[in-house]
Amino acid sequence: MNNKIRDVLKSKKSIAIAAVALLVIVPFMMEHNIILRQSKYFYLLLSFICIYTIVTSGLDILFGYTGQVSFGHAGFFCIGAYASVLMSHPEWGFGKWFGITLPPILTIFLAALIAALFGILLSIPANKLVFHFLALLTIAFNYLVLLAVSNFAELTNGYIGITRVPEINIFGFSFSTISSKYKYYYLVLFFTILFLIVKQHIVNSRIGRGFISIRDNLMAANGCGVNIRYYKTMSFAISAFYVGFAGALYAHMIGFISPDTFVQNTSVIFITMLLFGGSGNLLGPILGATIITTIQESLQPLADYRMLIYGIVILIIILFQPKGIVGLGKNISESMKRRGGEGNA
Amino acid sequence: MLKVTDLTIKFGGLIAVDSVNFEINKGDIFGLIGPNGAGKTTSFNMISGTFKPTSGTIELNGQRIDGKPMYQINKLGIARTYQNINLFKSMTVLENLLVGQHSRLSSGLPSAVLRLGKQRHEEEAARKKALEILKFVSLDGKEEVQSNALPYGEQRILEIGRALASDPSLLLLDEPAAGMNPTEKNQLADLIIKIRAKGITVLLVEHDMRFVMGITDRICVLNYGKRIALGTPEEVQKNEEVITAYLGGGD
Repeated sequence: MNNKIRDVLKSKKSIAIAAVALLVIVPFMMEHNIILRQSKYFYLLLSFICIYTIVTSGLDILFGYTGQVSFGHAGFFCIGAYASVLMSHPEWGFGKWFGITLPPILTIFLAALIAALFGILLSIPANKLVFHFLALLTIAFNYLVLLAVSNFAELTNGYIGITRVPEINIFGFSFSTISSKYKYYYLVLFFTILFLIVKQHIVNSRIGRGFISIRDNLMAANGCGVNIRYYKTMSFAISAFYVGFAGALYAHMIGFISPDTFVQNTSVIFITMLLFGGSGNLLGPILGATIITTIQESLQPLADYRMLIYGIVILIIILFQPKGIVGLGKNISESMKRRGGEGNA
Repeated sequence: MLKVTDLTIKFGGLIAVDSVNFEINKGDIFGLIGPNGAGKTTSFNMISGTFKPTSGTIELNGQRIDGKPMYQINKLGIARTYQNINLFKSMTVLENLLVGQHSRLSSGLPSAVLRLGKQRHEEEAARKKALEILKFVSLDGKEEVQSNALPYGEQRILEIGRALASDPSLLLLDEPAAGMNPTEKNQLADLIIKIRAKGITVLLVEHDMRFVMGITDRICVLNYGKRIALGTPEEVQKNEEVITAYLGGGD
């Protein structure tokens, strides 16, 4: 009986279900003043964490599983955000030119698809490059996207940005974000869980093994029948889809987008989250997104030094804990097991 | 089944392989030997698709495969191992064998995302097949071991297993006995004979003469990129040119 309880507690699935239940129930209780008194800011923070979890997980598919580095993912975040807004905004994009707009719940998916298309485009030159050359290419991509949205002011209102982004509606139910992000948080949480499940499905399939084989040994992957170029392109596309979708969710939550949000520093933050949490697994991106977002929000007064702090964090991780928090956790639990084993003997 | 005609490759001004011809019969264990730098591995790499020949043709069952990329050649039924071990280090033994089956599985992205019944059945069958292969190469019970934690000899065997996972009709082994002790070499020889008994043709590049002479049906000897002998092990051993090439010129 005792063992059974321990098994249940140890199974990863039950931990995941418990975590999700907590993420659903706690905000509900807060909203209804049962615990902690409601804090509007808290929902915003949770929503940010969810959005960045999608981003970091998407980046993880490319970096952690396929082994291709990107310092330009804010470009996809930007494409997702702008694409969704331009298709749904009555005063800009579609609304301005054709006088028609699409519902945001549709445009967030279309925006992700558009980001995926750009991912495929970027992969054409990227497939031939490795390491620092790939890093440079992706940085250039980020700047290219920024220049495009800043300079087509006719379309995007340039540096000023676009305000009054329409809110997401599903069958008349509005996920309004103006007074509180409470409702929106649940929408974002739903998508986050969906994207995490899909990620697990992908990486534990023939496709995912193709990705990992490329990361582990390019030559052997090729010899095993993995079409390297095709799989790298697919990885870029999936990764861009994730990040583009997150960008669209971001835009409809904040209600305002401008090129400032998608500068290359943002890409560095994404990489920091992934490295900090640990790449190539489910938990790492979640932990990284959670911790870095929380630090970032609580360090608002030190905003000027933010990049310095990230630089130091990346340096420390690469030098001492290349597998991030998840790796650190594994090391600790392994050394505890070893010590326990010695004690028994 | 494999026909190599006038195979030539030049690297700059160097002719690494020069108009080499040989044909491998179905079900044979065929040896490709020669002193260092003779062009064995280069020929081997052209057959497996790593290098594109400058001229000449390679035909597999009448179909030209020269210049095709490696992943397509694998799909057509040629699998290979490497001189230096090229396993997927972060993966378990079982996962290595699953990647080995890549060409023979068909589930794409949509069925992976939705985890359709078809995909689950395919994965289940692939696992079963991987376990069968492990048994065949006598690594059963090690499926959950991370591949780079295996001892050296077993890593070499696992590479052969991974190659077998793609159901090849022709198996290319690049110095499979390198670095093995005599016991391991005997086990390897037994395994290669067992593989042939399954109807798989084997092409072997090897330095160890006793090993090669012991198990091959026919041998092609290269020296400075040219073929200097072709025949059964007995014939080759008596060949004057081969003896000179291996023992040095008698001047």
